[in-house]
Amino acid sequence: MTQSTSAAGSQVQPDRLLTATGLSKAFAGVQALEDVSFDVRPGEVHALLGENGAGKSTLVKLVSGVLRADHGEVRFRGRPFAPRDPAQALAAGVGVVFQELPLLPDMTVMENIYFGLEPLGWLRTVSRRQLRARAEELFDRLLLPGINPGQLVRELSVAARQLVAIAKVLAADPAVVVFDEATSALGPGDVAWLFDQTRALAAAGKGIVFISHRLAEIDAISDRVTVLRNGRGVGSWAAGEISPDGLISAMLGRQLAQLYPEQQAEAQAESVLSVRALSAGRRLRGVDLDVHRGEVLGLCGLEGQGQLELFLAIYGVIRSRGSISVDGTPHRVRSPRDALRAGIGLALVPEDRKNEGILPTLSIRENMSLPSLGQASRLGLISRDAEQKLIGPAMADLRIGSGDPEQQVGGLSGGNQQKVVVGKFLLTGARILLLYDLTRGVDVGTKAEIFRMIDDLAAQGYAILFYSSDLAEIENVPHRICVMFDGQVTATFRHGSCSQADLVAAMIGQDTAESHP
Amino acid sequence: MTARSGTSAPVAGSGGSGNGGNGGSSGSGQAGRQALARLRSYSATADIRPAAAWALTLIFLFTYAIKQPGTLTGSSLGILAADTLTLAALGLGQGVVILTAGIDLSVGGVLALGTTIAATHFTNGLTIALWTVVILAIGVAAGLINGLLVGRLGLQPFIVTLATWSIFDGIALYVLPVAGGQVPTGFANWINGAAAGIPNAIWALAAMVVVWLWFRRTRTAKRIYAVGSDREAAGIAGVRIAPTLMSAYAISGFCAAGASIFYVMLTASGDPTSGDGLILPSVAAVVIGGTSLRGGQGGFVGTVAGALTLTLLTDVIFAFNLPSYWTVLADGLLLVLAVLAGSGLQALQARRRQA
Repeated sequence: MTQSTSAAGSQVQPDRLLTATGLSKAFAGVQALEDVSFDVRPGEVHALLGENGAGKSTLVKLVSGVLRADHGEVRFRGRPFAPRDPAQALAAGVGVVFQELPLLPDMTVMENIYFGLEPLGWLRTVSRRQLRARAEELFDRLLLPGINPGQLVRELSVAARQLVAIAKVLAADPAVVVFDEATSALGPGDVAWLFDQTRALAAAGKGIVFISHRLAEIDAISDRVTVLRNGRGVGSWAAGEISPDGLISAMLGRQLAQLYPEQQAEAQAESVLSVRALSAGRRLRGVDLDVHRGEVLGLCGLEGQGQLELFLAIYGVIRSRGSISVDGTPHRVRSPRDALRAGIGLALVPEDRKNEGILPTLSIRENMSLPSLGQASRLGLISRDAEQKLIGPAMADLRIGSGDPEQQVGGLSGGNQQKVVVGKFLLTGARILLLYDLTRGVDVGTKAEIFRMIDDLAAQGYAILFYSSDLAEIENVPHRICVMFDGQVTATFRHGSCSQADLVAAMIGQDTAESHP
Repeated sequence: MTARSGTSAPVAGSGGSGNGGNGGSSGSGQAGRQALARLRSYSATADIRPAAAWALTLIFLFTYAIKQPGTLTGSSLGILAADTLTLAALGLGQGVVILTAGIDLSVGGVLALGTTIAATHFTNGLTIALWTVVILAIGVAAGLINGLLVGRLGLQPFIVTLATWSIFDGIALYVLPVAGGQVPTGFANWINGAAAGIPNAIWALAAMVVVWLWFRRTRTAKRIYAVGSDREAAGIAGVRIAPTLMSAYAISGFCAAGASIFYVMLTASGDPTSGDGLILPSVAAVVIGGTSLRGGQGGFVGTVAGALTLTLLTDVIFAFNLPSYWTVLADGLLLVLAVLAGSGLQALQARRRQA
């Protein structure tokens, strides 16, 4: 409430906290950003939207000193602003929470937050006691209980790391805060917390830049939206001036027919993957579920409710108790090899996006044929022709990239990289696909393609277990939805029979009328 | 509504359920249980590799002591410390470079050059003081050259220091073509002396540990750990990479030069090839001591144990009358075992954290 009044008040003032004028940046001849202008007023939340590769991250990097602009100028409080690095930008009052979570893994939470600003004691040594006191005070102020300041960042979950990265920036009390996809790793509870913090910052007259692929979040938090496409500014709108569909067309430069495809086929009766009383460690405590032929079974839950462990257990990465049956036959799945043999394939976007399930320096052909090289070998040597024949149909089915199998995977878009990961498992003969948060940090155009791929695969008879941290996807993509809470499946819904509010209630463990299929 | 997630599970009050039947002993039992739980969570997260290295050192020490009863006396331990000093000093610098995820092979060249200069120029108190400063300065300069090539030009540490090792060895051969020369006996004898009843070599070793414990807590050290932990993240946190790498290699050069002084005290002469055989042990001492070759984890406290273990290994092999080729062979075996044990321990901890 306070935020809207203060935002309205500040818009009367002509001053801008941060202005970028005519920024251009090229990498090896590719124009990543061309003549883009952007500004942030005190007290406003300014959303920046665009597909992956539209130039949002480049813009953020130019403003924070990670990169230098080829042309153009950044001004902060009216003065030219050219920080040496993000740390200096933060000290000067412009803080960026980066997308790639660049914290120091071998250092503690508190060492990360106050890196370079540590309180020094005797003989210029860092005082751990003072450092801890400061960090605890900060967490109290930010309402972030439960994070131990002395814990190594390496041991934190991705969501907890993201919260630490946010706390690190807020600790410096910057006048401008940029959240570059800060919510992509967060569950709904943490997103609500971040929104509270954001509104408080805006109410205090700070300028906030908010980047997210979740249109609902943009809608909920922003006062103004600027859209980038292919490195150029498309336009800026005040909140309410443009519809979500309008934003999507602005981002894509065309009409998106449909983000979520109509389900082509109903799931069949026959159960393909059947899991009973599956338990592993403390996180997974007796899960029963069935995925049927041609079915997309959605899975949702707050972070750390056992969903990752469920995927890893079914794929044999972690040891589990209970039974896993494929087509009614019980299988011992003790390693990914066992899982592949049973026809289970896992496409996982590992929590750490830097090492995805791809080998970036190898070609599409080499990546896709890797798990099934046996089929492409002649006398122990790999036959390129056989490889070609093997991957050709899958590449066409999945509509990967430009269709050139020799392209380096590292150079593909995020969505196409995900398709390569999925394609790898189609080639192994997997008929059960475990898709774990495949769309995290993926732009809306690519998302539409991925959903179409999932629906195509389901129509072809694949059984698909689909986990996503984005509730809108869970609501729209699967045939059925299972909610996980505290290591168990606590509620099951049919497609179209539940609202996001129902899902959230189930996710936080509130009793709901369980609607069994 | 604040449904919080992503943080560690709340610590359940353990007194809640089982309070009824326990009676009087429940208080102390609970305290004990809490202490045990704390220890367990500590052992699941703390880096226990240095402690494991010290345990190995003690095992070797007692094995040796069984065969050679006089081992655990002050003078015997002094000799052990004196034999370890050169390697420990090399390991101190090597460890700092390895913390940045680099490696410094040129310590061998710097050491050799230092011994040849000392053996040809140390004649009396004044020249010893003067040329010691020169040797240390050469060490720092050598390190800065390495750091410049690695940090500013972004070359591979392995290749850069392989090249500079050869260059410094060449200069050493120019200064003193064959092993020889001499230093004043009074100077060489310092390493076997004692102060306040404790052997000088042990003092020197302790001093290195104290300096390390101080250094580890400075911002310079934090920057070195940060660069080794994740270079990109360090840059974003405001660490300037090139100067940090240069400081790490300069420290390594300084330590290698210091090591050459200890070497000259021990042998009372110089040797242009003295460094070659110490490069592998300098890396081995660091790795056995629990420092990760991937950078960002470890420290000198473990390295001292690694250096002592390697020295004791030679002694043990000698004590058991094994042929001398065993020394070299066992060095390598120990290194492989240390790497295996290190990754095994980490896997164990990771599994315990998950459970």
